[in-house]
Amino acid sequence: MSSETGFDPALYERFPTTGERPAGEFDELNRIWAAPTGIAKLTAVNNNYVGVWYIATAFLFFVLAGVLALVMRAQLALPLQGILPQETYNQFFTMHGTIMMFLFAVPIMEALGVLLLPQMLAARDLPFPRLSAYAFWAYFVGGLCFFASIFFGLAPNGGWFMYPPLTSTTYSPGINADFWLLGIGFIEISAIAGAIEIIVGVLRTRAPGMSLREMPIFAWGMLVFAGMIVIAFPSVILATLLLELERALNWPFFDPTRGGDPVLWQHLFWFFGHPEVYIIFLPASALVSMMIPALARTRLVGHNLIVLAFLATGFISFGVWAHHMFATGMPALSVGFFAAASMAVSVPAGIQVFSWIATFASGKPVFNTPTLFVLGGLVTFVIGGLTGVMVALVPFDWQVHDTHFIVAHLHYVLIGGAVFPLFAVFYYWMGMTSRRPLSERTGKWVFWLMFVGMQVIFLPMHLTGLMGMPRRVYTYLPGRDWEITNMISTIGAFIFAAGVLLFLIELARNFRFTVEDDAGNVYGGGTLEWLPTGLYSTRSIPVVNSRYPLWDDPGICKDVEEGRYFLPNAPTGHRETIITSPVRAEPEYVQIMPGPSAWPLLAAVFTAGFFVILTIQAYGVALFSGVLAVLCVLRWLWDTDRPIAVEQADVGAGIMLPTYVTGPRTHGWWAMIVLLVVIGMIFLMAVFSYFYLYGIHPQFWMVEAQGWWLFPIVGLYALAALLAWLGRRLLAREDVSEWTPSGLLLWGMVAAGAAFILDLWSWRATGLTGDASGQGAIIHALFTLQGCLVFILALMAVYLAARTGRALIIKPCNNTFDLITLFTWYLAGQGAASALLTRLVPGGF
Amino acid sequence: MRTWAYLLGGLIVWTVHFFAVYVAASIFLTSTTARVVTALVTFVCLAAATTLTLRGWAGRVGATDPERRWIHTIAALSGATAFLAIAWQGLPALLI
Repeated sequence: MSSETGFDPALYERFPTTGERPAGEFDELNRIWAAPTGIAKLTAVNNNYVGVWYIATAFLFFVLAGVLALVMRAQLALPLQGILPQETYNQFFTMHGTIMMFLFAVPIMEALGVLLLPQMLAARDLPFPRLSAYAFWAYFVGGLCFFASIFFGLAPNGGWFMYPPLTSTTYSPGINADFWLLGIGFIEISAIAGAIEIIVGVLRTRAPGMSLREMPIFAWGMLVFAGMIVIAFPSVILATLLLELERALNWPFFDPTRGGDPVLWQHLFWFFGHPEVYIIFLPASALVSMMIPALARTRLVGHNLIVLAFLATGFISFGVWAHHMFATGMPALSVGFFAAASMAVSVPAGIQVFSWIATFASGKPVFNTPTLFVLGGLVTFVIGGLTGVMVALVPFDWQVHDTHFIVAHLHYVLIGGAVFPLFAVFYYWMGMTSRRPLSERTGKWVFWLMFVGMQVIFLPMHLTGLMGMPRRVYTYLPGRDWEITNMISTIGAFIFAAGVLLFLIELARNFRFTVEDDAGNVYGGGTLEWLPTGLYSTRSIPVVNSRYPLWDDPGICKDVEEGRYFLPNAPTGHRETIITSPVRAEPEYVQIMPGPSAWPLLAAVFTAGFFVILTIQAYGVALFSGVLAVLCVLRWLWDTDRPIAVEQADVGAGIMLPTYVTGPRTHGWWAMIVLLVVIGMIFLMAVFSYFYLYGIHPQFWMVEAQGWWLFPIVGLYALAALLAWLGRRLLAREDVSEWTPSGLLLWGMVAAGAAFILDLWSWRATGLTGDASGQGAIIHALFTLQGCLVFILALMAVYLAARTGRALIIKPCNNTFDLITLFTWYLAGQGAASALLTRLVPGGF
Repeated sequence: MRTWAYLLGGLIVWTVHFFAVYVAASIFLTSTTARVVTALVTFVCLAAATTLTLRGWAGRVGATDPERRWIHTIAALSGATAFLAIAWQGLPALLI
């Protein structure tokens, strides 16, 4: 067997070890991983706590958004109802969609990742537990504040996709739209923080031997899910930034009379918005693929094909965004390409559906509650998928565009593809976090109420749409034949709600959170999350050479619990996990993990505060909150990246691993690369916007900066990158003073800042302003993006100087130094690319 | 990184193809030029997908290490999927 890192796979044969484990090591492990008590429990960062809080919060938002839907259905039950006034109805449907998509669907998938992945991978925790805690608290605080806007009549009212010009200051002069644009800022941060955590976690913290081939299908789903967030979310981040800049500073990105274009918003939004559907569906389908083998009592049919389907979905779903825009008048050939891709993307989903059917058919399924939810979800999703193929056909789409047919279609897809699987998940995995499992008898009632309710709501809604009822109207006139189907849909909504209510009662009856004495593997799953666990995850980390280790090795639970595998203790005296290689999961080093801390919590509160307070235009207070958030993050980071006394740790069976590693092998380096991909995608979408606006309205592109400015600007950026590189090289040499490498890096930062100022000044000298035209707006948007990076670099400079002053930048290599160097390189590259773009296109020398 | 590029090779080719034909249609609109560009890009990408599929399949047959064999399998499947998707994606240029 070949190796990826030089690790000898023959060493795996030393496990499970034999002989007695030293007395007291298990108590020590428990002591190190113990959770804080009392009010300090809020500072816990362990995935068992954060994951459950995260799921509970997301479910709360599901219920809240569901209540909004119920009121809307009551309003539409009969024509000319007066339950909701028009404006309130607008706020209700906007909040319903926004909350379901941004505050429920994506967060609950990340939450499940936080809760389940460490157990499935047999890691002690995900690699950045404080980041998970930060992501959760920012989402929790910000989400509740965002929802509260509806009680003040300030909730957004432009629909969950917020099209301009409706959402421009002309037609939406209040702060309702700002609540959406700024209010979801913290959700974007939270989602990306979660995605970084998941990508690095899946690729670097798997149990030794758990190669890509053996990786649980949920880990595959979450990997693709997180990758899609990294590619898709930057688009909506940019879109919200541009629209907020237009509203606040009158920069006309979306105003066609001044060189902007409202369709640009649609491109940016849907480049995020359509993959968003798959971002929600993929983890849910991965969970289904995890549950079905246990429910059908056989192995998953077509495991490799499902992996392929995930990967294919991850790519092809980025080629379908414009099928939401068939009615905008795009070139016919473009429309054809998007229609083709929209049909093609159903193939990977079909592969999964056939695989599930084949697994059920080849096994001996028991029709318990999770099975019912899985099958109900499958049927519902297939119906939604078929109507999806119908609307991929352009002439049909034109007929049903913006009608209730679309509302029915998207609910079939999302409820069948995500909500029903999630309820199956609740039942299936409840035994992992609760002392008591949920009742099967009640569960079947919950299922049938929800399933019947779902069909009663949305099946007739197709007809309502085909009969021409547009979506997002708060009432309708009698005599249009819409009364009967609307009444049926409303009755269905209350049946569905009864099912959810029964589930809530069931939770109150039976859910008792625990980590130690859980109900266990009620449905007989074969994967690692069903190993005996505590707050430390598993007592020891097993060697994995099977997709169903618990089925293939009946002794594994006992051996793991007796500490006969990797890391049976805490050899460094700290919280720790094993970092493994990305393909073959060979042990590389021991990561020292952070423990409970109030700083992520405080940073999150102030981050959410910054965005929410900005919305109500209390700029001074918002700025203060933002400064506090930054200070909390810096304080949180201050304790990190410190080597410990134990340089090599025995991780079991005499295998020694280093405890401090730097460079491209480290999990920190990987996280920074993922973050830079996010930033790079934001820049790429801005470049797309640049070309788009120029292509649509070239007549507004009148101003040219002198091309020779490129020489000093690009030169300074190159100097910045060079100095950063040189500083990193010098850090490895013993004969340089402590400050020299940091000094070089700091000078590099100065050069980058100077290049930015020079670039901005030379453009401002032409008289071009942000509000002058589409050209001015997009060039200033590029400066805004670059300015943000320069500001972050300035913060890094202060931080680096402080750490250098305290002798925390150790030789010959240091992670803090590495990551700041990486950021400087990226910043220099983006700055140079931006300067070249704005001067060479369309002008040139 | 090379492993990942190989594993996802077919899908990367599909991505290149999709955005190439999208850009062509955006610049040249629904014209003969756009169709010709689409046809050329489709032909080149089909060839690339075929190559990746064949290479993956040959690697799969020859591999003794189960991990390498699995990677070759996924690479071959990825290439084959991309071949079908690219052919499908290019068809509108002939029909519209």
